[in-house]
Amino acid sequence: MRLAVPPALRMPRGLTLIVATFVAAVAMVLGLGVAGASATSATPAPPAEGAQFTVGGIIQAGPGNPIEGAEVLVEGNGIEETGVTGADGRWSVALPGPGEYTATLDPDSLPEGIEPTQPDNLTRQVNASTTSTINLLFPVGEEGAAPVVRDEGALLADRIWTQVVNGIIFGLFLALAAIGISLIFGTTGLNNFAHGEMVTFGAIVFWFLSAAFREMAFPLNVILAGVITLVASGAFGWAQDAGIHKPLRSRGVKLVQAMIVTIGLSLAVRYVFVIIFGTGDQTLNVGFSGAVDIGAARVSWTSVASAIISAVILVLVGLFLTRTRIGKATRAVSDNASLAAASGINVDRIIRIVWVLAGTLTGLSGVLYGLYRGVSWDMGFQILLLLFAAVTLGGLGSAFGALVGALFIGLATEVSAVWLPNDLRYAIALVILILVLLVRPQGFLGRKERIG
Amino acid sequence: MSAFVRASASRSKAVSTGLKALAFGAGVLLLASCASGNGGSETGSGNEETSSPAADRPADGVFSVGTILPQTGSLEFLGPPEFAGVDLAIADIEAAGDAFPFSVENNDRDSGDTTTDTATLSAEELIGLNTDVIVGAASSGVSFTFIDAVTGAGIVQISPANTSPDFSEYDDDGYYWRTAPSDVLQGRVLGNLITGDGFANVGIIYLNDPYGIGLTENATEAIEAAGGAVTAAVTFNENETQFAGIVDEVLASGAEAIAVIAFDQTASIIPELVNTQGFPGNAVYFVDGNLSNSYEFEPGTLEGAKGTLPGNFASAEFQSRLLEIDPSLTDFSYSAESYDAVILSALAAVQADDDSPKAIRDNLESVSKDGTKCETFQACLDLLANGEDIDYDGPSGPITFDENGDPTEAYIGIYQYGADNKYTPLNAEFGSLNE
Repeated sequence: MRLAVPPALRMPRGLTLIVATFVAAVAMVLGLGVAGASATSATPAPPAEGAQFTVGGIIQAGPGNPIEGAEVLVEGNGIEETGVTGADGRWSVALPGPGEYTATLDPDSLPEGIEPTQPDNLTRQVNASTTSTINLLFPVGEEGAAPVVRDEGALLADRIWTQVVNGIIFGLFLALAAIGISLIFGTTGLNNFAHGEMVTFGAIVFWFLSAAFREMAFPLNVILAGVITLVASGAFGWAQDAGIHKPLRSRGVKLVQAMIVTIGLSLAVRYVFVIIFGTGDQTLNVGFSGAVDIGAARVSWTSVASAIISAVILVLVGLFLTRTRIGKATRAVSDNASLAAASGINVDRIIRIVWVLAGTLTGLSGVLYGLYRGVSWDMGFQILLLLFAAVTLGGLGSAFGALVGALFIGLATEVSAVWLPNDLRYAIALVILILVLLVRPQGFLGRKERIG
Repeated sequence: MSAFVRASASRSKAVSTGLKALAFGAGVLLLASCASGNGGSETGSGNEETSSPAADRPADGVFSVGTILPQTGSLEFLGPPEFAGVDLAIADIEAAGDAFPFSVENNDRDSGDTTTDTATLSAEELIGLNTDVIVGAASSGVSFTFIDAVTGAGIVQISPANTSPDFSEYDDDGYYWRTAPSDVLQGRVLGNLITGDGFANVGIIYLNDPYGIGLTENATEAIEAAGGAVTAAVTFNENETQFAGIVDEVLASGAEAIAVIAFDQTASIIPELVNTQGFPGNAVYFVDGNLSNSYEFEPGTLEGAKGTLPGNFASAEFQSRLLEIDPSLTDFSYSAESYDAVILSALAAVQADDDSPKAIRDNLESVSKDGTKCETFQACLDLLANGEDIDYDGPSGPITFDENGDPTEAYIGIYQYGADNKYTPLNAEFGSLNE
């Protein structure tokens, strides 16, 4: 275990509370019960002694259409034998030993109406040395059947469309996770590096709960697990503010130091996750599957449902911020905390509400993201950079900006993969971020900061 | 005689047999290596040749085995069968009694995984304990972290599970061996398996590391030699999270079968590939890095999918003997390879009549091939006592080492998933790397 200790914190009470937060987080997760999966193993029989080299294969005109009676002549190393396919389309010839052979399909042996797909390529070189069974392919098909022509243009269009759909879904996940960063930054000015762990927290709690509720029917298990997860996530957000950031604020700790604290918290919580959850990837299976075609793109219902939930929640958050008293107060604190305090707004209470709201939304994003890609101990940390990129691109502190930025990042990463190697797509998103900020430093929807 | 009793508890038995001087020497060596880190000691005593530049460790009459195998970390599940294999081998050697002319010692140490430095510490410790043979590690990545320390100190390292092709040409002064075959073999068997099922257009999704690249290259070679084609080989990085686009790219290429060469990322790839895109599960192929019984997919997802795993199926008799050692075993992966690693080095020491690492190194290749075949430790000992050249064939297969310390002949097990997403053995493919 490597736990990073935040550098030289001279505040014993703060430290105690940090520890208390960890303990609370651990207790919450531990208390939820662990489902053990034990691997069973088979008792196999050892294979027959001695290595007998054979060459063989299956000749079929498409899946499920084996060709009977096709002949393959195997020559070399002093043998000249013909393998004939059986009713299952399989043929095989035993070889006397390792060495070089050739195998040739006799096109005349094929039944009426069947011909080799590649009439000029009926001989295979066989080098019997590495593996005892060598399989060969002789593609055959209906006579006169038009060769399958791949319409590259249409395929490319389909691929782009698929990636656009994937990008929008990924962007909506990012937006839901990013809006918490944006809210917290807006009200307190803090860059919360432990935000990725809030994503993971939601996913892991939900994973344990869905395992615990496995016996229940489909909608109930998800709803119950989801509600408890959201409460726990909200509590996690509350605990972070109550245990760490409120005390830090009241002691006048600067934002940079507070940010370092979040980095330390991020590391510590992540390794607590390792202890509890382990380092493997786990699939979230809630007994709900199926896929839907959106144009040429086929996506799972889980993804579609998750994306819709994300979109709805984002709209609700937007309405909350613009239409409700607390939402307006939040924006007031965001604009100018001192002025808001002077006009009678309880700033600490607003900040506390924002933390709980951020924790809940981020936990929800963790659940949805976990349903989409599976759960792992560092799943949130892996997208943390993209979340910051989304928030920055959209405009720091702007909730709608986070949505726009996240959709942009999602589309850029997924669509660029059509032309670029997969490994590069996140880099592309971050290059675009740099370019946009060079032209528009405040991001898409950010306010222009006054300089001087 | 007490000298032939396992002396892992204390060295006093060895001392009592009149090896006081050497034991003292060992103590000095221990101190020296503590002081000099992983460096070897030059103060070899006894009747060793001193031609090798690496420190020649003396023959001390104690055949000392150390293990660096996973007790913690991401490969923890591979540890118990491997430890049980080593323990069973030690028990068999002890059962030989006076026929085995050295006393036996075994020290188990943890290898952790690549995120910790546990393995390096374990290696230092075992080097200090005057170990002759170190069995480990399970992971190729972990082995790379201590191979230089161990082989540099002139100690034989035998891994029961490293499959990376990179070890073959590694500069190890002949001290590194393994009883698991290189992935060159598994890759070819995988390619052959896919074409044998009649799939001519194959897509590959692979992890961008030496393991994934090596397997992909060799599978591609086999598929193309059979007359098939790899329509798309899409790579992803270790920390990849979004597989929708990758899966789409492979499907768009017109692949009829897809080989997934990955570790636990498979838990994210399969739901997208099979459940969402509707790709048939029986046209998906696994490798040893992801052939697992612990996936939580919907029932039927993997039905008919096949996978390859280096090593022979453990026989029922071998399994029951392992269960006597460790009744809690549920898996037998690489247990036979671990067993054979210890037996082979013990036979090498007997053939040399010298338990020093250098003597073991110089005799390992010879006991593994060319001679009278023998399948048990006792049978091989009897042949050696008659002065015959032996060719040990153990539970893991025919084991014939080449000059790189790689087994040139091995079995690759082929397994198939059922509707419950658990795999069962199908058959085993014999493979040889003698080109």
